[in-house]
Amino acid sequence: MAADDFYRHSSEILRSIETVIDGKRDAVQMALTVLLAEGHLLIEDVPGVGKTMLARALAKSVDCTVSRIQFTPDLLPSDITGVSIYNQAEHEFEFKPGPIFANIVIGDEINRASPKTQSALLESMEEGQVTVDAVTSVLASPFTVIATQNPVEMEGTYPLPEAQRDRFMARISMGYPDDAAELAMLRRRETASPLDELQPVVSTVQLIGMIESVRNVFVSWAVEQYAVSISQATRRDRDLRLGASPRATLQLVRAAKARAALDGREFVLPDDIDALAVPVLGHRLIPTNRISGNGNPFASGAVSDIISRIVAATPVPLGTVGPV
Amino acid sequence: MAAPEPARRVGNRREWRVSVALLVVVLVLLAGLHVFLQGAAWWFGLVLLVVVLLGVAALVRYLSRRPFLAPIASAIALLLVMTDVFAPGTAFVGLVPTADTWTAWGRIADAAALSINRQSLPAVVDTPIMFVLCLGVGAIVIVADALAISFRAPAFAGIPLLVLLAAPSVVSIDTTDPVLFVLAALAFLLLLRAGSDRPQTRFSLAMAGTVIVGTLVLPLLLPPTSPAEGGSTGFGTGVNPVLSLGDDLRRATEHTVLDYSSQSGAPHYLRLVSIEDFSGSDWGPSAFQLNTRNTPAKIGSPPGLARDVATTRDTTNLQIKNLTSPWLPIPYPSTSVVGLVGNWYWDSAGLTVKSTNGTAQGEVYRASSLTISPTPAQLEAAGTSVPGGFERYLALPIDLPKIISSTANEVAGGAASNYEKALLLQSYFHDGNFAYSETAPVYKGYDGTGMKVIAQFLTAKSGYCIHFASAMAVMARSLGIPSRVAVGFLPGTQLDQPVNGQTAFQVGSHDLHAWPELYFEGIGWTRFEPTVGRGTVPSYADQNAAGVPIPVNTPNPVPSGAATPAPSASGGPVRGDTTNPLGAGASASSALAGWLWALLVVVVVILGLLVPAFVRLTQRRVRLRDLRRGTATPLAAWREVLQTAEDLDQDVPDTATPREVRLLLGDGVFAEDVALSRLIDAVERESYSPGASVYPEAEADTRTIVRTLRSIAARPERVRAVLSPPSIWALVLGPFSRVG
Repeated sequence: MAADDFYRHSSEILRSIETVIDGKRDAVQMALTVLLAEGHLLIEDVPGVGKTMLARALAKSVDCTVSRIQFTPDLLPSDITGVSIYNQAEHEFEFKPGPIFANIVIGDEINRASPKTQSALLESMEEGQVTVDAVTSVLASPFTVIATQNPVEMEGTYPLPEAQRDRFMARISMGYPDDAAELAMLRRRETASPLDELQPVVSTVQLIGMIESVRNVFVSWAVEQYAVSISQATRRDRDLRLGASPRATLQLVRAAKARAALDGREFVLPDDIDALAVPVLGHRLIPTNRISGNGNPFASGAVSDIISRIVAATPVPLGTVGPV
Repeated sequence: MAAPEPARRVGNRREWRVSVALLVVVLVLLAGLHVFLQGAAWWFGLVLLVVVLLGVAALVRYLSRRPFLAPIASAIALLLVMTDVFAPGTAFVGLVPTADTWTAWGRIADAAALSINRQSLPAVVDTPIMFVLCLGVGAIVIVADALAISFRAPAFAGIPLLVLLAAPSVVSIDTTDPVLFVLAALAFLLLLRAGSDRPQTRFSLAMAGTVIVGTLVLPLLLPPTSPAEGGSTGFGTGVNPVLSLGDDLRRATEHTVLDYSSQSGAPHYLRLVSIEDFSGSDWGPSAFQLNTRNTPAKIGSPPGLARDVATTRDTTNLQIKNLTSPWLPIPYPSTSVVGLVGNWYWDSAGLTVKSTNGTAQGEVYRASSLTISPTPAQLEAAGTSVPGGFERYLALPIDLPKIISSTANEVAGGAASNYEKALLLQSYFHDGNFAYSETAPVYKGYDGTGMKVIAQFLTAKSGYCIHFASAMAVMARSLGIPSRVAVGFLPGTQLDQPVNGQTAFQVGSHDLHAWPELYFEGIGWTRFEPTVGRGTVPSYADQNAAGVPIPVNTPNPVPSGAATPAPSASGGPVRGDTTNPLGAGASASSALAGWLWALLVVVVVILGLLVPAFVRLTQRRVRLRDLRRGTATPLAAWREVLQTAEDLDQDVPDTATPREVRLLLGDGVFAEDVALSRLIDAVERESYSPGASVYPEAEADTRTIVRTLRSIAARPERVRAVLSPPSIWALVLGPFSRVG
């Protein structure tokens, strides 16, 4: 895909989403970045700030199959993956695909489901396939899970296991809108829901083309070195109990490629890594008790500060050094 | 290629202008050296040299654009001049210096050191000193020329030139010529003007002001650089004992010069050197007749000693503790000296022992000597006859002040024999009118040697050993007695503990002494002791001793010798006044070597501190040149920008990406800067994109950004960035640095 097309499509998607979500440019851009980097997105925030709205708007802007799973404590794994039902007419079991079989899967309030159900997502998110009754079915492509969750302090929530958190490329939070944005929202929703009027602006084929473009973005040895240095530093940091996994490094660079492409560049800058370090690494790291105290070890604030400190302390490599 | 021509011509015109301005500055500065150099011939010689060096540099610049060629060419020119002028005949084809040239230079340099030590201010510029001057001035001019033109930093040229300007100030505060000082400052401003394309900023004026104030302040910081404070040895850097004798006597702290013990247990005067030639304005040791067969294991017999004079042999073991003199302290007359380490030879005239290449420091040796005890009758028998070949010991300058000969004649002219004349002269000093003072001559301005000094001493009747000794020697000559002045040490203090069963003595720096030696036929050179309160009068000259005649001065009899307060001959060496009102800035004029060292130290320190500035300057030039040629990547430009920011005290950590740097630099002044945007883009492409980037504006952009950075920095930071760039210091002082 030509750079012009990429730029046109991406700006159309952004504009489309922003007709629904007011004043959340960063969150919207981050969501698109994850989509183009073939990752999964976790949106974490208090209820009512537009998490689900963002997920749905993104899904609707792209002409692809979308499904939505509302996670509840009594949700079963088969409610996600699908079930095999005995077909009496043909005398055999027939697989009824669950909602996971879609290009974009919106998992709403994912941390309200039991750990058993949550883990049903694991295989599908990482490997793009589902195994039910020893039958493996390949999921759609592209495949992205956009999950929302309430902070773990909220009642009736199960914290996501580390393994599953690690499978999300990035975690973002929406935050409250400012005065102007909130007013604009009130005005717009007085009569109708703008989400209903949203039309797809990009076809599946075009989306695949965009993803292909992102894959081709160049990452220099210097930038790779930079990303590795940051990940390594998280593993050594005194304030962190759990550092970044190699998967985290991989996803950091992938996300950086998408960000570079969205910025109109055909190569990744250290600035991309800097900008993505907190969203990509934040939900994977666990601070020591000293930092988290008696509070929530998964709270984003303390970890974000640590990541910012690490990024600020990592030298930026310059020049064409290392293996080319 | 029409386009580059005008630029080149403009550049050349400015370079010629700077060359001429530099010449003017050097001319003025050289004139300033007149305060410690006699005559004017040296000035013309040095000016000629400077013209040649600057001319060669300018010519090479005219022919080639490579900036480093000019200083190299003028350095070669200096080498050729030094070869041809100071070591002619040693060069290959008359031009190329050879190993012989090097040896010749070494010899001249040694001679220069000797000459500097011998002379007082203002110094006579002899060939060795001219050699040093040419070398120093030549080097300074080459460095200044390279800085002002090749490096296009005329302000920096002031630093090597500062050496010339500071030289008079360092030698002596009083001798600085304020007119020339101001002229030099003005000439320097002229140089700054000539070296700049645009009207001078206040920075240049501030720089000039700094230089002027610096030179005024420098000597105030450096007063204790005279060798009297050096605390080193008996003779400081001391080659001329006569000159430094006063300084050593006046030194507040005494230190041990040597220890000795004698077989007989008797104390000995230890002689270093003798001075025979009194014709010049300053006296120094006579030229040493080097004969390599004259090894001190067997020293020739003392001249004039007849067999019938009673002599006893004695052996003295000496150990030098602290004495950097090329002469060896030995009793007179010694017949052999064994145990020496260096190359030592004896001189047949004075029976002195001198090293050709080393000093007495650390030598441990055994001297066999004769103790001559002539009877008064034998001395009397010498009469007034003077053997042939002793004319040089009677030579006196034509313009001998009248007071010397008239006093001598009045005191002893009527005595019958040379011996009686000598006794009368000695008692003249001992008759109570003369006082021993180490400081009076300095205060009254007749410290040193020479006839005028003796005349003043005879009037003021106050001085120390060198005055007594030289006065008696000169007066003896005027009465027809061959004489010379010996310089050495008093016998010193007897130690409580004997060494190896022998009576031991310790000689300190305050035991430095000078005494006259008079020649009597049949006896030889005979010591007298005119100095009041110091030393011991030998028995043959002590009028209290038995047998010594009461001399009679017929036309003008002197008061009875019995009244003279001669020190007891039996007592130990009498120490000079212990309440020595010392220090008192006594050594203002002497010892050129001291200031030469001080100057060297100052120059080395200044140059050392400026090394980072030079490194930074060169670094910038190399980077910009490479950028201009396209041989450097945009990273070179980027490093230059970052380093400039660091030098200007802007905090730009190496953890910042180029885009972050843009926001940090100059508190965001560069947010919209086109040049910086281009540079950042190029750096990012160079570092992080697959293809190579083309960046033709690299040099211009770098210059623009650096200029902007400087323009927004405070003046102290700007000055520091130039003179003492923190980036280079960080490189030197800490392993963590952005550069590299």
